[in-house]
Amino acid sequence: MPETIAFPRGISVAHRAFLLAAACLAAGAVFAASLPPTTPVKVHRTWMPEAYPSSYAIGFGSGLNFCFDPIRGNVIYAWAGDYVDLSATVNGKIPRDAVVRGTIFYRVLTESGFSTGSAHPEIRFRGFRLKNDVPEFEYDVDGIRVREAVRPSADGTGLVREFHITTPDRRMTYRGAELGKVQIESGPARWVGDQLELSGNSTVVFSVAIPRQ
Amino acid sequence: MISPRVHIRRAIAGLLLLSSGVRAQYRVETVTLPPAAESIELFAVAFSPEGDLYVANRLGEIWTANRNAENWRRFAYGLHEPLGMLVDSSRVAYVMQRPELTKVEDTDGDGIADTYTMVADNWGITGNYHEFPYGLRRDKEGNFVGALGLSSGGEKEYANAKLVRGDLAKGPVRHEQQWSVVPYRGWSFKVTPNGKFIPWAFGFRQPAGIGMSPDGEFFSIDTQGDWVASSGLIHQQQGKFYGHPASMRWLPGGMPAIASDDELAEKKTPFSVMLPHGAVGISPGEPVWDTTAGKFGPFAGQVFIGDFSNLVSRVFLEKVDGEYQGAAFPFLRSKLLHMGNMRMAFSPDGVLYIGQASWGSGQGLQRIVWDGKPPVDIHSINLRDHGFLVRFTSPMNRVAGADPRSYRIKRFRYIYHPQYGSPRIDQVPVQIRNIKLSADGREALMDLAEMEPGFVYEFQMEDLAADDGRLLTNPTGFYTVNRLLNGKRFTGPYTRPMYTVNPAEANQIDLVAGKKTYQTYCMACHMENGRGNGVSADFVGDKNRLAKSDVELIRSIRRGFENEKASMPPFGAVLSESDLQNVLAYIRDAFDPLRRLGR
Repeated sequence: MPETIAFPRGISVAHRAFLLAAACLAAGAVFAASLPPTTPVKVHRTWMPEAYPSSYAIGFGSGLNFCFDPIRGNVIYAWAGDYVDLSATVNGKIPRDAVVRGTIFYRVLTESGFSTGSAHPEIRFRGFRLKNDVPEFEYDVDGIRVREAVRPSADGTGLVREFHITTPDRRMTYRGAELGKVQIESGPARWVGDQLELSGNSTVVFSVAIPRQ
Repeated sequence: MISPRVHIRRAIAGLLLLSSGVRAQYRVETVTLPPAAESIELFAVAFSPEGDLYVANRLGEIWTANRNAENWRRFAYGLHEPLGMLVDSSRVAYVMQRPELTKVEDTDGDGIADTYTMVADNWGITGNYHEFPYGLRRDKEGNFVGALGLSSGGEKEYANAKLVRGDLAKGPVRHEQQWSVVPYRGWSFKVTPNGKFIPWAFGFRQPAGIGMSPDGEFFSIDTQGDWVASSGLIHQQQGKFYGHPASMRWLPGGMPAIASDDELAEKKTPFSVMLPHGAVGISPGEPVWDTTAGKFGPFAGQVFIGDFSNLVSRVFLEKVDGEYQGAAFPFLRSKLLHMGNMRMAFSPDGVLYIGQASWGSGQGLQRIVWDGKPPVDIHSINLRDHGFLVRFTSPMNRVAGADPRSYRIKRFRYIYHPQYGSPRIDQVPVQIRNIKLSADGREALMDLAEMEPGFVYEFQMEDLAADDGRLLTNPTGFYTVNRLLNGKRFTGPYTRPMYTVNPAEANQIDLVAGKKTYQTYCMACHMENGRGNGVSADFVGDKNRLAKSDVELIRSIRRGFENEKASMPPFGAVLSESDLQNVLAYIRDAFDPLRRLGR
């Protein structure tokens, strides 16, 4: 039962203290059975260093972590080690950035590498999903929906970003900072110079590895 | 006139109530939150249609329990300061978080949300801590309603701002202290079920609580500060301006040319009900309607509003000449009520749950439970042609209830200006010409010597007691007369007093008045015993606090301060010079033993 601290009149202070302690013990016994979080993936949306407000900190239990910036539509850095220290974000009235607790091994403070040809692609965050411990982000680039899942690599040495895109009747290009590590999984995509071109009216799946240096 | 006997009875009753943590017939219970929760600073509280309890915390988790707050489990996480929540079912909730309105969904039915879909994000964010998003309610058409707080920090905060969502407009528009530097800060909005964002009304500072009446009408509060004389409850009407000019830059034509503050004031729609600062809170939160059909006592249909201080207040609304106005009352002020009572919801059993967060000085989940017995309280105050009809929850003593000396009434109003808050101005006592108590002792109809629109009428009824001798639990009420029944409205002046103050009266030190000022403005944070609430100054335990000179202390009260750990609003615009002198004299007299001994 929840603790009740409204005492009847006429009860002494000592009696109150005893009742309060008993109530706390009873409450503790009940909440020892509370269900803890079941996923090892840590997710917080908060103030992250070098990121737009309300960016994601994601931590895999393996010690790999990354920051996804929903306004840039991009994984802007990844680090190895502990997760983030969030205490500065909730300390008193004026929050400060969370503190990354590890060694950053990847850092690209740019917008998404996708383009449909416009000088300044319009990026709009659409949502987040967490299925089977794999975080997946959805965002639009000039109106074309991008689904991006991020997971630890099979050998556990880095991260893999997997993109899933269905294009309308116009093509789309990708110029990431990790072009040497792109793998086309399915769909019509080809290299044009240093850009990966995705055909119009098609579904393309490709992945980009972010190895730990 | 109050007899010494009544004073003694009231003091004893007050001590008993404070020590027991109950307000006669209402008790405060503290609910233990799950130890696994990452934070117990609660930013939202709601019940699902099935009657399950949901709370959201500062670190972005949503936890759920049964209607008795048992068997907790985590439903969702990864949200950024979710300040409002609607729960549609055990699988779907909608959340107002800092960057967006989000649909939170458990698609596979395993009890844990897995999909977070952005519904609307059509406002700017700079990361400023004061850019709170407020909500969340639905109107009759199924639209979501919410509002957006202004930013703080001034030039320094935005000098190098780069990582900003939305168009960044630097600088104030009209001497304001809180700014609207990105779109729709200071606006309320609606979002249609398919995600269309509709800016609704503007002129808000920190509309920290959104409410929806049982009739589906959109209300919010706004919070005392620059351009906001005192907090109040607002009926939100589309396209209306509610007083803070910062938001006007996002009007379709941009900031309009306005020659004077008086001209601006004429564009302002008055708050439906003022919540006079100090007496009815210091910073109100979410207004919730008592829809319990009597399970919470005799106030069905009225509005309960939590406060940043250890207070829950109550508002009675009525329509006069087509517009809402009404009366505000303190409802429950208890030492056992935590600080930060910003979010509330009624359980299906008629228990009022309160989610608490106050930047470290108060947090958790408490609930207020009615014991089923009728309280002795003011039920409501209605406007009448020549005065008011005061209703009580229990029959009043027939002699005292019919005696005009049992009622003290005065009226006051506020200045509209850019400064932080406003002192009460044009405050005058109002004579009762005639009073008639109904045969059942529950209604007092009073004719007053004068009725003026644009004033708050304050009622004090300390002498009144019920038939069985019980005193009114709360003897104070404040009726906001925006309009008289004949439609007459206040036409100014809005930016200056109408009556002058006698300076000779202002220079007399008055400890009684100082104590009243302390109780009104200071006690919520510094506590009745002067020892503070853990964050604010402890006048008794910290010998350095009152070791400062009168000049330094008056300066602190006048200017206020803000740092990472605590803040105190500036009272220079709220308190007159004599108020400042009187309250300092009272603080020294009550809490400074050296001064009290005359050393």
